[in-house]
Amino acid sequence: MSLDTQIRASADAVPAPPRRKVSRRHRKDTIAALVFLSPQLVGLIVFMVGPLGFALYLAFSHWDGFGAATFAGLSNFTELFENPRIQRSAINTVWFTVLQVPGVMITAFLFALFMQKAGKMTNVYRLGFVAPVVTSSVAVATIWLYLFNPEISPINSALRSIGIPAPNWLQDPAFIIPSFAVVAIWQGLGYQLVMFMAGLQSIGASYLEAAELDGCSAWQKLWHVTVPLISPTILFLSITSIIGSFQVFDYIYVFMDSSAPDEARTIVYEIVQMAFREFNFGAASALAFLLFLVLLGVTGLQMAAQKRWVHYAE
Amino acid sequence: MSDSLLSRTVDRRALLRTGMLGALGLAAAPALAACGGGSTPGSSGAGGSVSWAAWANPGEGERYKKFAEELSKKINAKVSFQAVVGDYEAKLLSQLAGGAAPDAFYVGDGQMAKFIASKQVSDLSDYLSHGKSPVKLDEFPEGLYQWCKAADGTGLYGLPVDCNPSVLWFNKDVLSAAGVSSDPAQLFDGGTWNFDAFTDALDKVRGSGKKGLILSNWWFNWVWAVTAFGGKLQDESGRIVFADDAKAQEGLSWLLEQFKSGNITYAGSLPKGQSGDALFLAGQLAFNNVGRWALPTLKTAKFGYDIAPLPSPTGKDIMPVPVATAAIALNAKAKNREKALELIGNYVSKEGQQFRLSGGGNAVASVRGLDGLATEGGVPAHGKLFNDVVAKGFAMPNAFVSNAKTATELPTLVDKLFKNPSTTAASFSEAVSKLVNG
Amino acid sequence: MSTLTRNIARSQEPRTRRRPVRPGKIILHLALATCAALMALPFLWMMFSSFKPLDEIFRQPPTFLPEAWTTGGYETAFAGADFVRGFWNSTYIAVTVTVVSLLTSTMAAYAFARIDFRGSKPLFMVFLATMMVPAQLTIIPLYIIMGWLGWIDTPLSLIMPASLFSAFGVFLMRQYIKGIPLELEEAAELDGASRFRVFTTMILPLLRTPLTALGIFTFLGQWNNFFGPLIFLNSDANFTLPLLVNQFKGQYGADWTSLMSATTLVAAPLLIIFAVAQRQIVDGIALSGSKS
Repeated sequence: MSLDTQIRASADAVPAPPRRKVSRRHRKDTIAALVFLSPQLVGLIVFMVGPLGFALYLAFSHWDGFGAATFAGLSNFTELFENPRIQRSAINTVWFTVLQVPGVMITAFLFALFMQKAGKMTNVYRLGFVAPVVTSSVAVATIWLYLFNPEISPINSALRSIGIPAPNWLQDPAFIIPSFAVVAIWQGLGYQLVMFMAGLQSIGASYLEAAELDGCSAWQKLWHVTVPLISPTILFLSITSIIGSFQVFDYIYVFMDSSAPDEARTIVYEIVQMAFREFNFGAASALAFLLFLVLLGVTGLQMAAQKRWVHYAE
Repeated sequence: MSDSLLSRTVDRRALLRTGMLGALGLAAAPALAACGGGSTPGSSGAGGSVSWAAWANPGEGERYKKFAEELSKKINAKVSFQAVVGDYEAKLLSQLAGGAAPDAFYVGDGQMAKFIASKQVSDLSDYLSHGKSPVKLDEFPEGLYQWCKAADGTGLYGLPVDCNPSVLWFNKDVLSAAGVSSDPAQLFDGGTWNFDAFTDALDKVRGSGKKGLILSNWWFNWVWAVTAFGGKLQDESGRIVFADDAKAQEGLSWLLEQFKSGNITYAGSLPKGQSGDALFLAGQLAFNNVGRWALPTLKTAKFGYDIAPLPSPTGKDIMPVPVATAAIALNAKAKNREKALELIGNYVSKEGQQFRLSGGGNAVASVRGLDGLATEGGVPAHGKLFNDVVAKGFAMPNAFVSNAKTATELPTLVDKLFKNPSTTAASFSEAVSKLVNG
Repeated sequence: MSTLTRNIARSQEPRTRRRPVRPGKIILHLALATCAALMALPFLWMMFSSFKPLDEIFRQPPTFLPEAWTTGGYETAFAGADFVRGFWNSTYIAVTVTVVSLLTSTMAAYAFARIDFRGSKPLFMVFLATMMVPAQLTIIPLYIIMGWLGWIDTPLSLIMPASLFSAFGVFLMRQYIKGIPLELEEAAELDGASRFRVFTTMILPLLRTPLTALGIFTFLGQWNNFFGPLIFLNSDANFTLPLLVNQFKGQYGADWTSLMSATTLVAAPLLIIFAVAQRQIVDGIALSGSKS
């Protein structure tokens, strides 16, 4: 008898617990919650609250990294809105996210499904997919600068040999952001694959087999059993990868250094440029604040919408 | 101590107001025990301890540590070196804000103006004119340190630690295979290394199916097109004037033509020095416009190589061209100011540079009288040219880095202009002058 | 959802599991093997390049396997940086952070997923919100805090923040805990078991698979962490592996053979750890598989 059946059996044996009595129980719960949360709360207060509050304060100040900060009102924000480059960076950031997040999530999910069926070889294949994750950014940059170099890239020679015009990846404005997205998908796939597989493995085979016995087609099984059961994982991955993707910076910096053309810049790249190369921490913080608001909105929407499609156990 | 650290960086009340209170309360006790976070463990000599920070590859790092050891004895203080192996600006700014920056540190040409204006670095002129200093200002080629002066042209806030002149490395095998009978170094020795000869070589290489030269948007890679033609880059006040200079226009037109014909490839914005390196090492590129830093990797190359200066109108002159350099500066809040000055003096003195640079093979001395460094080991054959180019060369023009915004915008603007096929010498000059002259 | 699960649970019957091998399987394996190989190609190229002499790394057309094997890159890498020390520093930091942060974030996740306390939802949003500010911007105040704590140039500056705060880990584990059916816990609580007991004896064992996955990625994130160590560590005796590797990049030009060797040295242990740890995931499957 499987554990789950045991769970259900015991749940059947005991009458459903009465609706909780709020007041006394609530206090006990709050104390318990505090105990469980305490280590992370200490971390939050010591290492996050101060720096985040400082960044918020700077968004409304002039500060060059040295000396005292002076109150700036909203001037940092007006400066940003008057800067046409910020608009371009915002578009680039969104474009990157649109390409990368669904790109990596769909591929990772499909591969995770297929890998489920690969038996013992799964471990070997998964190693291949995880290899990019463990490769350091220095090596990633080295390898991809080579692969993106139109003169020597094996990708380009392969494309040319089958008659497709080979793009100049990092110089052609239309290809820069997609190139970054390719690298990001390549590097992020293994991580999401492992996460999806962990999610899928928690489902257990019998649900699917049961669905099969009920006469469900493969597609129905996927849509009505698998997806709902791993929906918490999907929510987690979509929230965290959108946040991560909106903050993309490394790739631009390692491929283009500190003078990337407008077509390659993203919001966080601008933030770093403004703060550390132009000593304009006020505008950088203001931009980070705007990014924060957007991400808060996007995440808030996802959290609000989860009730419609994310299924947790009861 | 911890209080002064804080008030030094930002207004204290403002910080408290914005929620640092929690962190402050929790941090107060241990902060009393250890302030600033020492970077120099171990006991100090009689003269205290002194430290400096720089970027360094492993070979340099090793050398610098030896240098620190030697210097400890000499100046009777514990000298220590901090290697910064990545984003130097972010690290240095964090340290300065936290009041934990080393007594002396390297400053890149893009940051110097800001550091001077915000009084993070101290004037070294008094020390240099002092009898005790092991190095004198007149030992440095004049073009190398102008960027270390304040905006009004006074003071001297940093000293070049070493330098790397813009020269042309060439692959002898690629050139001879392309039918270039005498190589650029030979042509220079014969007094016929002019821009026609260069264009001719590039034409031939292109005809042979290899690449001639790859350039980036770094000033080091294009400003010579103005000056090597004899054009005037800036006037006495430091304003950029090449827009009105016929020779400069000729040079820029030549460069843009080469881009158009495919003789020279524009590589776009790439990490410093990476534009042509891979192809040059692969034997696919005839010329590489880099400094002496290319030497260590080239030593293993299987092809013949040498250097030539950038061409000149006469074919026999060495023209003023860019020289990449960085300076060591004195932290205005150095804990041990006196020893820090001694460290800086000894660091850039003839003796100090001899010690630091010999055997490394990746830079040229920034003081006169150390010509032997550039010819070390006899490679490249024309290594002595490094010294000649430095003597005539110039470091980052002040106008390019007069403020941090200009410093970061310039390469981006140049990138845009080089990529645009309708750019002309005039439109290029106009756009650049507008940005840098304000 | 609950109806569906229950229907499935009810319709579940024992039966034979073996099926004949279908031609589809062969195609599946071929496709997966090709994709896995393509994905791993840059890594393999890096690894093989680390055994090539410099001129071969850049040869045109490129070679995949070295023609002339050499360990020169490794020799210069080892001569140029103290990798043994760096290996120890990295391991020490990554292991400590992984162990402590798995525990603290699962605890917090349990509170968010299972305890109905006032302010739970807003506090959880605060956790999520911390992920939305780029770390580069908060580095200076964090540096000042580390200065107050006296942790500059010590591993504590890296261990403590990562161990004591991980919005990411809390979020992930919360998702998994919310996916565990409630009934058993409620029964146990009625039997008088404390929250702590429920957490340690019921929740943690069921989280083996996701804990392993989170553990792997926490370890990996720490192992490859570059920015934190760069800012907080000064003495090269304290340097972690990514800092040592980055030295070979140089200010202008890279030392390619050493760089390839150093990056391989840093990445290879991770793959080995992953290969070993993924057996844990497989065991986890067996466990959670039997659950349903």
